[in-house]
Amino acid sequence: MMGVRAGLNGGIRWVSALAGLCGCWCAEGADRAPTGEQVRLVAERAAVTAGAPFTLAVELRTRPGWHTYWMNPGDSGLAPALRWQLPDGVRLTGVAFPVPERIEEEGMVSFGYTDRVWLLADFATEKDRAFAEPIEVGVSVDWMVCLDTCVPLKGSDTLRLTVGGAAADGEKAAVADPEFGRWRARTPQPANGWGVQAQITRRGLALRIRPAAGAGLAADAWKRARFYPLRRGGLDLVAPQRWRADGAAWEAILRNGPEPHKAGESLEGVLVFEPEPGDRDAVPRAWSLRATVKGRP
Amino acid sequence: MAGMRSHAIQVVAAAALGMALCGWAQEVGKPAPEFALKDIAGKEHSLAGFKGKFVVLEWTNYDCPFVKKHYETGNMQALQKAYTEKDVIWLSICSSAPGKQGHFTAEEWAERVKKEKATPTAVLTDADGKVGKLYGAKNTPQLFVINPEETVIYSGALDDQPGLDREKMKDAVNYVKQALDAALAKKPVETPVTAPYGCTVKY
Repeated sequence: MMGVRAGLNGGIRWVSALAGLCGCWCAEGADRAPTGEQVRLVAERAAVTAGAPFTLAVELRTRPGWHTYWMNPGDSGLAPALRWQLPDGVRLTGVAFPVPERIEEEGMVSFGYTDRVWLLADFATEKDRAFAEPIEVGVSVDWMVCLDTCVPLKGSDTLRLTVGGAAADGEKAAVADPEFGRWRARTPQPANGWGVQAQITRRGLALRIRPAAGAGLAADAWKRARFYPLRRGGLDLVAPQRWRADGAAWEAILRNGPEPHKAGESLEGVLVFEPEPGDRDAVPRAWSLRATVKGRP
Repeated sequence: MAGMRSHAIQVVAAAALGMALCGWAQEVGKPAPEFALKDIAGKEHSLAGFKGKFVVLEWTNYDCPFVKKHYETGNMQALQKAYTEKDVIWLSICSSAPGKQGHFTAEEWAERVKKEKATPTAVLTDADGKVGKLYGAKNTPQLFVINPEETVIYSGALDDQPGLDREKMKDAVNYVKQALDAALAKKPVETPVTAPYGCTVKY
Protein backbone atom coordinates (compact mmCIF):
# COMPACT_ATOMS: atom_id res chain seq x y z
CA MET A 1 0.00 0.00 0.00
CA MET A 2 3.03 2.26 0.24
CA GLY A 3 2.80 2.85 -3.46
CA VAL A 4 -0.77 4.02 -3.18
CA ARG A 5 0.00 6.41 -0.40
CA ALA A 6 3.03 7.79 -2.17
CA GLY A 7 1.05 8.21 -5.36
CA LEU A 8 -1.59 10.18 -3.51
CA ASN A 9 0.76 12.60 -1.84
CA GLY A 10 -0.31 15.40 -4.11
CA GLY A 11 -3.90 14.63 -3.33
CA ILE A 12 -3.30 14.63 0.38
CA ARG A 13 -1.73 18.07 0.20
CA TRP A 14 -4.72 19.25 -1.77
CA VAL A 15 -7.09 17.84 0.83
CA SER A 16 -5.17 19.59 3.59
CA ALA A 17 -5.61 22.90 1.79
CA LEU A 18 -9.30 22.26 1.38
CA ALA A 19 -9.66 21.14 4.99
CA GLY A 20 -8.36 24.56 5.98
CA LEU A 21 -11.11 26.20 3.96
CA CYS A 22 -13.69 23.78 5.30
CA GLY A 23 -12.81 24.77 8.85
CA CYS A 24 -14.12 28.25 8.03
CA TRP A 25 -17.48 27.32 6.58
CA CYS A 26 -18.18 24.48 8.98
CA ALA A 27 -17.75 26.87 11.89
CA GLU A 28 -20.63 28.95 10.54
CA GLY A 29 -23.15 26.31 11.57
CA ALA A 30 -22.74 26.56 15.32
CA ASP A 31 -24.58 23.31 15.98
CA ARG A 32 -22.49 21.33 13.52
CA ALA A 33 -19.24 19.82 14.66
CA PRO A 34 -16.43 20.67 12.22
CA THR A 35 -15.80 17.06 11.42
CA GLY A 36 -14.41 17.62 7.94
CA GLU A 37 -16.42 14.84 6.32
CA GLN A 38 -17.85 15.80 2.99
CA VAL A 39 -19.71 14.53 -0.04
CA ARG A 40 -18.88 16.57 -3.13
CA LEU A 41 -19.71 16.21 -6.80
CA VAL A 42 -17.00 17.17 -9.28
CA ALA A 43 -17.55 17.53 -13.02
CA GLU A 44 -14.82 16.39 -15.34
CA ARG A 45 -15.83 18.98 -17.92
CA ALA A 46 -17.71 22.22 -17.52
CA ALA A 47 -20.29 21.36 -20.18
CA VAL A 48 -21.98 18.18 -21.32
CA THR A 49 -22.98 17.42 -24.88
CA ALA A 50 -26.37 15.96 -25.78
CA GLY A 51 -25.80 12.43 -27.05
CA ALA A 52 -22.34 12.13 -25.50
CA PRO A 53 -21.41 10.42 -22.24
CA PHE A 54 -19.97 12.37 -19.33
CA THR A 55 -18.35 11.58 -16.01
CA LEU A 56 -18.81 13.02 -12.55
CA ALA A 57 -16.81 12.18 -9.46
CA VAL A 58 -18.39 11.64 -6.09
CA GLU A 59 -15.75 12.66 -3.61
CA LEU A 60 -16.13 11.14 -0.16
CA ARG A 61 -13.81 12.81 2.28
CA THR A 62 -13.31 11.51 5.81
CA ARG A 63 -11.60 12.99 8.81
CA PRO A 64 -7.81 12.55 8.48
CA GLY A 65 -6.83 8.95 9.17
CA TRP A 66 -10.39 7.63 9.03
CA HIS A 67 -11.61 5.40 6.24
CA THR A 68 -14.73 4.74 4.26
CA TYR A 69 -15.52 1.57 2.34
CA TRP A 70 -15.35 -0.23 -0.98
CA MET A 71 -18.32 -2.12 -2.50
CA ASN A 72 -17.45 -5.05 -0.24
CA PRO A 73 -16.59 -3.45 3.09
CA GLY A 74 -14.95 -6.67 4.30
CA ASP A 75 -15.28 -8.06 7.82
CA SER A 76 -16.91 -4.92 9.24
CA GLY A 77 -18.28 -1.56 8.09
CA LEU A 78 -20.63 -0.62 5.29
CA ALA A 79 -20.39 0.17 1.59
CA PRO A 80 -21.53 3.65 0.50
CA ALA A 81 -25.02 3.73 -1.03
CA LEU A 82 -25.60 6.38 -3.73
CA ARG A 83 -28.98 7.69 -4.83
CA TRP A 84 -29.04 9.94 -7.86
CA GLN A 85 -31.41 12.72 -8.82
CA LEU A 86 -31.14 13.03 -12.58
CA PRO A 87 -32.92 15.18 -15.16
CA ASP A 88 -34.91 13.50 -17.92
CA GLY A 89 -32.63 12.35 -20.69
CA VAL A 90 -29.69 11.59 -18.40
CA ARG A 91 -29.01 8.00 -17.37
CA LEU A 92 -26.40 6.54 -14.99
CA THR A 93 -24.45 3.80 -16.77
CA GLY A 94 -22.06 2.81 -13.99
CA VAL A 95 -20.07 3.81 -10.94
CA ALA A 96 -16.41 2.79 -10.77
CA PHE A 97 -14.84 2.30 -7.36
CA PRO A 98 -11.04 2.61 -7.37
CA VAL A 99 -8.96 -0.28 -6.05
CA PRO A 100 -9.39 -0.09 -2.28
CA GLU A 101 -6.76 -0.39 0.38
CA ARG A 102 -6.74 -3.70 2.20
CA ILE A 103 -6.74 -2.68 5.84
CA GLU A 104 -5.88 -5.60 8.13
CA GLU A 105 -6.33 -5.09 11.84
CA GLU A 106 -6.71 -7.57 14.69
CA GLY A 107 -7.51 -10.53 12.49
CA MET A 108 -10.06 -8.70 10.37
CA VAL A 109 -9.84 -7.12 6.94
CA SER A 110 -11.57 -4.00 5.67
CA PHE A 111 -11.55 -2.84 2.07
CA GLY A 112 -11.68 0.93 2.01
CA TYR A 113 -10.17 4.31 1.44
CA THR A 114 -8.26 6.34 3.99
CA ASP A 115 -8.91 10.11 3.95
CA ARG A 116 -10.81 10.31 0.69
CA VAL A 117 -11.90 8.63 -2.50
CA TRP A 118 -13.35 9.63 -5.85
CA LEU A 119 -16.02 7.31 -7.19
CA LEU A 120 -16.33 7.87 -10.93
CA ALA A 121 -19.92 7.90 -12.18
CA ASP A 122 -20.57 7.61 -15.91
CA PHE A 123 -23.70 8.97 -17.54
CA ALA A 124 -25.32 8.72 -20.94
CA THR A 125 -27.35 11.57 -22.42
CA GLU A 126 -30.10 11.43 -25.02
CA LYS A 127 -28.97 12.68 -28.38
CA ASP A 128 -32.07 14.43 -29.60
CA ARG A 129 -33.28 15.96 -26.39
CA ALA A 130 -33.47 19.73 -26.00
CA PHE A 131 -32.14 20.04 -22.47
CA ALA A 132 -33.28 23.03 -20.45
CA GLU A 133 -30.07 24.57 -19.26
CA PRO A 134 -28.49 24.24 -16.88
CA ILE A 135 -29.15 20.61 -16.09
CA GLU A 136 -28.99 19.67 -12.43
CA VAL A 137 -27.52 16.40 -11.17
CA GLY A 138 -27.78 15.49 -7.52
CA VAL A 139 -26.52 12.65 -5.38
CA SER A 140 -27.43 11.57 -1.85
CA VAL A 141 -25.01 9.26 -0.11
CA ASP A 142 -25.43 7.04 2.93
CA TRP A 143 -21.93 6.15 4.00
CA MET A 144 -19.90 5.17 6.99
CA VAL A 145 -16.55 6.32 8.29
CA CYS A 146 -14.56 4.30 10.80
CA LEU A 147 -11.38 4.47 12.80
CA ASP A 148 -11.67 3.08 16.34
CA THR A 149 -15.40 3.61 16.11
CA CYS A 150 -17.82 3.91 13.20
CA VAL A 151 -20.04 6.84 12.33
CA PRO A 152 -22.86 6.54 9.80
CA LEU A 153 -23.22 9.67 7.67
CA LYS A 154 -25.64 11.13 5.19
CA GLY A 155 -24.45 13.65 2.65
CA SER A 156 -25.54 15.13 -0.64
CA ASP A 157 -24.42 17.53 -3.31
CA THR A 158 -25.82 19.00 -6.50
CA LEU A 159 -24.09 20.20 -9.64
CA ARG A 160 -25.38 22.39 -12.44
CA LEU A 161 -23.96 21.67 -15.84
CA THR A 162 -24.33 23.59 -19.06
CA VAL A 163 -25.16 21.69 -22.22
CA GLY A 164 -23.04 22.33 -25.29
CA GLY A 165 -25.14 22.54 -28.46
CA ALA A 166 -22.65 20.61 -30.53
CA ALA A 167 -19.71 18.42 -29.75
CA ALA A 168 -17.32 21.08 -30.93
CA ASP A 169 -18.72 23.62 -28.49
CA GLY A 170 -18.62 21.04 -25.75
CA GLU A 171 -14.96 20.41 -26.45
CA LYS A 172 -14.24 24.11 -26.40
CA ALA A 173 -15.84 24.51 -23.00
CA ALA A 174 -14.07 21.48 -21.66
CA VAL A 175 -11.55 21.98 -18.91
CA ALA A 176 -10.62 18.48 -17.80
CA ASP A 177 -9.68 18.16 -14.15
CA PRO A 178 -6.39 16.19 -14.08
CA GLU A 179 -7.48 14.54 -10.86
CA PHE A 180 -9.88 12.42 -12.91
CA GLY A 181 -6.98 10.80 -14.70
CA ARG A 182 -5.29 9.95 -11.45
CA TRP A 183 -8.39 8.21 -10.05
CA ARG A 184 -9.15 6.52 -13.36
CA ALA A 185 -5.67 5.00 -13.23
CA ARG A 186 -6.65 3.38 -9.94
CA THR A 187 -9.89 1.91 -11.30
CA PRO A 188 -9.92 -1.79 -12.23
CA GLN A 189 -9.97 -2.57 -15.94
CA PRO A 190 -12.33 -5.08 -17.55
CA ALA A 191 -10.56 -8.43 -17.94
CA ASN A 192 -11.21 -8.67 -21.69
CA GLY A 193 -9.43 -11.66 -23.16
CA TRP A 194 -8.56 -13.13 -19.77
CA GLY A 195 -9.28 -16.73 -18.89
CA VAL A 196 -10.97 -16.98 -15.50
CA GLN A 197 -12.12 -20.20 -13.82
CA ALA A 198 -13.39 -20.79 -10.31
CA GLN A 199 -13.92 -24.27 -8.92
CA ILE A 200 -14.93 -25.55 -5.52
CA THR A 201 -12.33 -27.85 -4.00
CA ARG A 202 -11.95 -29.57 -0.67
CA ARG A 203 -9.52 -26.90 0.50
CA GLY A 204 -11.39 -23.84 -0.75
CA LEU A 205 -12.20 -22.04 -3.95
CA ALA A 206 -9.64 -22.60 -6.69
CA LEU A 207 -9.27 -19.47 -8.79
CA ARG A 208 -7.36 -19.97 -12.00
CA ILE A 209 -6.59 -17.08 -14.31
CA ARG A 210 -4.76 -16.61 -17.57
CA PRO A 211 -4.00 -12.93 -18.19
CA ALA A 212 -4.63 -11.54 -21.64
CA ALA A 213 -1.50 -11.24 -23.71
CA GLY A 214 -1.84 -7.49 -23.85
CA ALA A 215 -2.20 -7.04 -20.10
CA GLY A 216 1.43 -6.02 -19.79
CA LEU A 217 2.05 -7.97 -16.60
CA ALA A 218 5.46 -9.34 -15.73
CA ALA A 219 5.83 -13.13 -15.81
CA ASP A 220 6.17 -13.16 -12.03
CA ALA A 221 3.39 -10.66 -11.32
CA TRP A 222 1.40 -13.48 -9.66
CA LYS A 223 3.71 -13.11 -6.66
CA ARG A 224 2.05 -9.78 -5.89
CA ALA A 225 -1.52 -10.80 -6.75
CA ARG A 226 -4.49 -10.76 -4.43
CA PHE A 227 -8.16 -11.31 -5.23
CA TYR A 228 -10.66 -8.98 -3.57
CA PRO A 229 -14.12 -10.58 -3.76
CA LEU A 230 -17.17 -8.43 -4.31
CA ARG A 231 -19.46 -10.53 -2.14
CA ARG A 232 -19.15 -10.30 1.63
CA GLY A 233 -18.64 -13.53 3.56
CA GLY A 234 -17.75 -15.88 0.70
CA LEU A 235 -14.01 -15.94 1.25
CA ASP A 236 -11.76 -15.67 4.27
CA LEU A 237 -10.19 -12.26 3.74
CA VAL A 238 -7.45 -12.69 6.31
CA ALA A 239 -6.00 -15.97 5.00
CA PRO A 240 -2.93 -15.63 2.79
CA GLN A 241 -3.58 -16.27 -0.90
CA ARG A 242 -0.83 -18.49 -2.14
CA TRP A 243 -0.68 -17.88 -5.87
CA ARG A 244 1.43 -20.10 -8.06
CA ALA A 245 2.25 -20.17 -11.74
CA ASP A 246 1.20 -23.14 -13.84
CA GLY A 247 2.51 -22.46 -17.30
CA ALA A 248 0.76 -19.35 -18.59
CA ALA A 249 -1.96 -19.68 -15.95
CA TRP A 250 -1.88 -18.55 -12.33
CA GLU A 251 -3.78 -20.31 -9.60
CA ALA A 252 -4.60 -19.90 -5.92
CA ILE A 253 -6.80 -21.86 -3.53
CA LEU A 254 -8.83 -19.24 -1.69
CA ARG A 255 -9.98 -20.21 1.78
CA ASN A 256 -13.73 -20.14 2.29
CA GLY A 257 -15.47 -17.65 4.53
CA PRO A 258 -18.61 -18.37 6.55
CA GLU A 259 -20.85 -18.23 3.45
CA PRO A 260 -18.84 -20.09 0.79
CA HIS A 261 -19.52 -19.53 -2.91
CA LYS A 262 -21.83 -22.17 -4.36
CA ALA A 263 -21.71 -23.99 -7.67
CA GLY A 264 -23.43 -21.94 -10.34
CA GLU A 265 -22.92 -18.70 -8.47
CA SER A 266 -21.16 -15.87 -10.23
CA LEU A 267 -17.87 -15.10 -8.51
CA GLU A 268 -17.03 -11.45 -8.98
CA GLY A 269 -14.13 -9.45 -7.72
CA VAL A 270 -10.99 -7.58 -8.49
CA LEU A 271 -7.56 -9.09 -9.00
CA VAL A 272 -5.04 -6.61 -7.66
CA PHE A 273 -1.33 -6.57 -8.41
CA GLU A 274 0.60 -4.49 -5.93
CA PRO A 275 3.41 -2.41 -7.41
CA GLU A 276 6.94 -3.78 -7.21
CA PRO A 277 8.54 -3.08 -3.85
CA GLY A 278 10.38 0.21 -4.06
CA ASP A 279 8.25 1.46 -6.95
CA ARG A 280 6.86 4.29 -4.85
CA ASP A 281 5.02 6.22 -7.54
CA ALA A 282 3.18 3.26 -9.01
CA VAL A 283 -0.42 2.46 -8.20
CA PRO A 284 -1.74 -1.09 -8.02
CA ARG A 285 -2.97 -2.49 -11.32
CA ALA A 286 -6.26 -4.31 -11.18
CA TRP A 287 -8.73 -6.16 -13.34
CA SER A 288 -12.38 -6.94 -12.68
CA LEU A 289 -12.93 -10.69 -12.88
CA ARG A 290 -16.06 -12.75 -13.17
CA ALA A 291 -16.51 -16.51 -13.38
CA THR A 292 -19.32 -18.97 -12.85
CA VAL A 293 -18.32 -21.20 -9.94
CA LYS A 294 -18.03 -24.87 -10.87
CA GLY A 295 -18.84 -27.64 -8.41
CA ARG A 296 -16.30 -30.16 -7.16
CA PRO A 297 -14.72 -32.19 -9.94
CA MET B 1 -16.12 -32.57 39.27
CA ALA B 2 -12.67 -33.47 37.98
CA GLY B 3 -14.30 -35.26 35.05
CA MET B 4 -16.36 -32.22 34.20
CA ARG B 5 -13.36 -29.95 34.34
CA SER B 6 -11.32 -32.16 32.06
CA HIS B 7 -14.24 -32.26 29.66
CA ALA B 8 -14.38 -28.47 29.70
CA ILE B 9 -10.65 -28.26 29.05
CA GLN B 10 -10.94 -30.63 26.11
CA VAL B 11 -13.76 -28.56 24.71
CA VAL B 12 -11.79 -25.35 25.07
CA ALA B 13 -8.77 -26.96 23.47
CA ALA B 14 -10.87 -28.25 20.61
CA ALA B 15 -12.42 -24.83 20.16
CA ALA B 16 -9.04 -23.13 20.16
CA LEU B 17 -7.77 -25.61 17.59
CA GLY B 18 -10.86 -25.11 15.47
CA MET B 19 -10.41 -21.37 15.50
CA ALA B 20 -6.73 -21.64 14.71
CA LEU B 21 -7.51 -23.87 11.77
CA CYS B 22 -10.37 -22.00 10.21
CA GLY B 23 -9.85 -18.48 11.50
CA TRP B 24 -13.57 -18.07 11.83
CA ALA B 25 -16.12 -18.04 14.56
CA GLN B 26 -16.90 -20.96 16.81
CA GLU B 27 -17.91 -23.79 14.53
CA VAL B 28 -21.44 -25.00 14.29
CA GLY B 29 -21.89 -28.63 15.28
CA LYS B 30 -19.07 -28.41 17.80
CA PRO B 31 -19.45 -28.28 21.59
CA ALA B 32 -19.90 -24.74 22.89
CA PRO B 33 -16.82 -23.65 24.84
CA GLU B 34 -17.47 -23.40 28.55
CA PHE B 35 -17.23 -19.96 30.16
CA ALA B 36 -18.27 -18.01 33.23
CA LEU B 37 -18.82 -14.25 33.21
CA LYS B 38 -20.24 -11.73 35.63
CA ASP B 39 -23.35 -9.80 34.77
CA ILE B 40 -23.57 -6.04 35.22
CA ALA B 41 -24.70 -6.50 38.82
CA GLY B 42 -21.70 -8.71 39.59
CA LYS B 43 -23.49 -12.06 39.58
CA GLU B 44 -21.65 -14.88 37.86
CA HIS B 45 -23.27 -16.94 35.12
CA SER B 46 -21.67 -20.03 33.62
CA LEU B 47 -22.73 -21.77 30.45
CA ALA B 48 -22.73 -25.09 32.32
CA GLY B 49 -25.33 -23.61 34.65
CA PHE B 50 -27.76 -23.40 31.71
CA LYS B 51 -27.29 -26.96 30.50
CA GLY B 52 -30.56 -28.40 29.29
CA LYS B 53 -31.75 -25.09 27.85
CA PHE B 54 -31.29 -23.27 24.59
CA VAL B 55 -28.84 -20.40 25.01
CA VAL B 56 -28.38 -17.37 22.75
CA LEU B 57 -25.11 -15.45 22.97
CA GLU B 58 -25.49 -11.94 21.57
CA TRP B 59 -22.28 -9.94 21.23
CA THR B 60 -23.22 -6.33 21.73
CA ASN B 61 -21.97 -2.76 21.98
CA TYR B 62 -24.86 -0.36 22.54
CA ASP B 63 -23.00 2.51 20.84
CA CYS B 64 -22.24 0.63 17.62
CA PRO B 65 -24.50 1.96 14.81
CA PHE B 66 -25.38 -1.57 13.68
CA VAL B 67 -26.44 -2.53 17.21
CA LYS B 68 -28.35 0.74 17.56
CA LYS B 69 -30.34 -0.17 14.47
CA HIS B 70 -31.72 -3.21 16.27
CA TYR B 71 -32.22 -1.58 19.68
CA GLU B 72 -33.65 1.77 18.60
CA THR B 73 -36.27 -0.04 16.55
CA GLY B 74 -37.07 -2.48 19.36
CA ASN B 75 -36.11 -5.43 17.15
CA MET B 76 -33.55 -6.97 19.53
CA GLN B 77 -35.65 -6.43 22.65
CA ALA B 78 -38.65 -8.09 20.98
CA LEU B 79 -36.54 -11.18 20.24
CA GLN B 80 -35.16 -11.22 23.77
CA LYS B 81 -38.68 -11.03 25.18
CA ALA B 82 -40.21 -13.57 22.80
CA TYR B 83 -37.58 -16.23 23.40
CA THR B 84 -36.92 -15.76 27.11
CA GLU B 85 -40.68 -16.30 27.47
CA LYS B 86 -40.09 -19.65 25.76
CA ASP B 87 -37.49 -20.53 28.41
CA VAL B 88 -34.55 -19.70 26.12
CA ILE B 89 -31.58 -18.17 27.96
CA TRP B 90 -30.49 -14.96 26.22
CA LEU B 91 -27.08 -13.63 27.20
CA SER B 92 -25.96 -10.26 25.85
CA ILE B 93 -22.17 -10.14 26.08
CA CYS B 94 -20.08 -6.99 25.80
CA SER B 95 -16.37 -7.56 25.13
CA SER B 96 -15.48 -3.85 24.88
CA ALA B 97 -12.20 -3.20 26.68
CA PRO B 98 -11.92 -0.42 29.27
CA GLY B 99 -11.63 2.92 27.46
CA LYS B 100 -13.20 1.52 24.28
CA GLN B 101 -16.63 2.18 22.85
CA GLY B 102 -19.39 0.26 24.62
CA HIS B 103 -17.49 -0.23 27.89
CA PHE B 104 -19.30 1.13 30.93
CA THR B 105 -18.95 1.29 34.69
CA ALA B 106 -21.41 -0.73 36.79
CA GLU B 107 -23.61 2.35 37.33
CA GLU B 108 -23.55 3.30 33.66
CA TRP B 109 -24.42 -0.27 32.71
CA ALA B 110 -27.50 -0.31 34.91
CA GLU B 111 -28.66 2.97 33.34
CA ARG B 112 -27.93 1.88 29.79
CA VAL B 113 -29.69 -1.46 30.03
CA LYS B 114 -32.72 0.36 31.46
CA LYS B 115 -32.59 3.02 28.76
CA GLU B 116 -32.29 0.42 26.00
CA LYS B 117 -35.24 -1.47 27.54
CA ALA B 118 -33.16 -4.59 27.02
CA THR B 119 -34.66 -7.76 28.42
CA PRO B 120 -32.14 -10.56 28.03
CA THR B 121 -31.66 -13.13 30.77
CA ALA B 122 -28.46 -11.29 31.65
CA VAL B 123 -26.02 -8.72 30.28
CA LEU B 124 -22.51 -10.09 30.78
CA THR B 125 -19.29 -8.10 30.68
CA ASP B 126 -16.16 -9.55 29.15
CA ALA B 127 -13.80 -6.57 29.43
CA ASP B 128 -10.67 -8.65 28.94
CA GLY B 129 -12.20 -10.14 25.79
CA LYS B 130 -11.37 -13.74 26.73
CA VAL B 131 -14.80 -15.16 26.04
CA GLY B 132 -15.22 -13.08 22.88
CA LYS B 133 -11.97 -14.45 21.52
CA LEU B 134 -12.82 -17.97 22.70
CA TYR B 135 -15.93 -17.81 20.51
CA GLY B 136 -14.20 -15.90 17.72
CA ALA B 137 -16.66 -13.01 18.03
CA LYS B 138 -15.61 -10.38 15.51
CA ASN B 139 -18.60 -8.13 15.12
CA THR B 140 -21.41 -6.48 17.00
CA PRO B 141 -24.05 -7.66 16.62
CA GLN B 142 -22.94 -11.30 16.28
CA LEU B 143 -24.91 -14.21 17.63
CA PHE B 144 -24.55 -17.86 18.55
CA VAL B 145 -27.31 -20.30 19.39
CA ILE B 146 -26.44 -23.25 21.64
CA ASN B 147 -28.75 -26.21 22.09
CA PRO B 148 -29.56 -27.98 25.39
CA GLU B 149 -26.76 -30.47 24.70
CA GLU B 150 -24.34 -27.50 24.58
CA THR B 151 -23.66 -27.77 20.88
CA VAL B 152 -23.42 -24.64 18.75
CA ILE B 153 -26.29 -24.78 16.26
CA TYR B 154 -26.09 -21.27 14.80
CA SER B 155 -23.26 -18.79 14.31
CA GLY B 156 -23.37 -15.49 12.49
CA ALA B 157 -25.46 -12.43 11.77
CA LEU B 158 -28.80 -11.57 13.30
CA ASP B 159 -30.36 -11.19 9.86
CA ASP B 160 -29.64 -10.79 6.16
CA GLN B 161 -29.64 -6.96 6.16
CA PRO B 162 -26.10 -5.74 6.73
CA GLY B 163 -27.03 -2.14 5.95
CA LEU B 164 -28.37 0.55 8.24
CA ASP B 165 -31.52 1.21 6.23
CA ARG B 166 -34.31 0.71 8.75
CA GLU B 167 -36.93 0.59 6.00
CA LYS B 168 -35.49 -2.75 4.91
CA MET B 169 -35.81 -4.36 8.35
CA LYS B 170 -39.38 -5.48 7.75
CA ASP B 171 -38.20 -7.65 4.84
CA ALA B 172 -35.24 -9.07 6.75
CA VAL B 173 -34.73 -12.80 7.10
CA ASN B 174 -33.94 -13.21 10.79
CA TYR B 175 -31.50 -16.12 10.98
CA VAL B 176 -31.52 -16.32 14.78
CA LYS B 177 -35.31 -16.49 14.87
CA GLN B 178 -35.24 -19.14 12.15
CA ALA B 179 -32.65 -21.19 14.04
CA LEU B 180 -34.48 -20.97 17.36
CA ASP B 181 -37.90 -21.72 15.86
CA ALA B 182 -36.53 -24.74 14.02
CA ALA B 183 -34.58 -26.07 16.99
CA LEU B 184 -37.47 -25.53 19.42
CA ALA B 185 -39.65 -27.55 17.01
CA LYS B 186 -36.93 -30.24 16.93
CA LYS B 187 -36.19 -29.51 13.28
CA PRO B 188 -32.77 -28.99 11.71
CA VAL B 189 -31.53 -25.43 11.35
CA GLU B 190 -31.72 -24.49 7.69
CA THR B 191 -29.03 -21.78 7.71
CA PRO B 192 -26.62 -22.64 10.53
CA VAL B 193 -23.74 -20.33 9.49
CA THR B 194 -23.79 -16.81 8.09
CA ALA B 195 -21.24 -14.02 7.83
CA PRO B 196 -21.75 -11.58 10.69
CA TYR B 197 -21.80 -7.88 9.87
CA GLY B 198 -21.44 -4.70 11.86
CA CYS B 199 -18.78 -2.98 13.92
CA THR B 200 -15.64 -4.71 15.09
CA VAL B 201 -15.72 -6.00 18.65
CA LYS B 202 -13.80 -3.36 20.61
CA TYR B 203 -11.24 -5.69 22.23
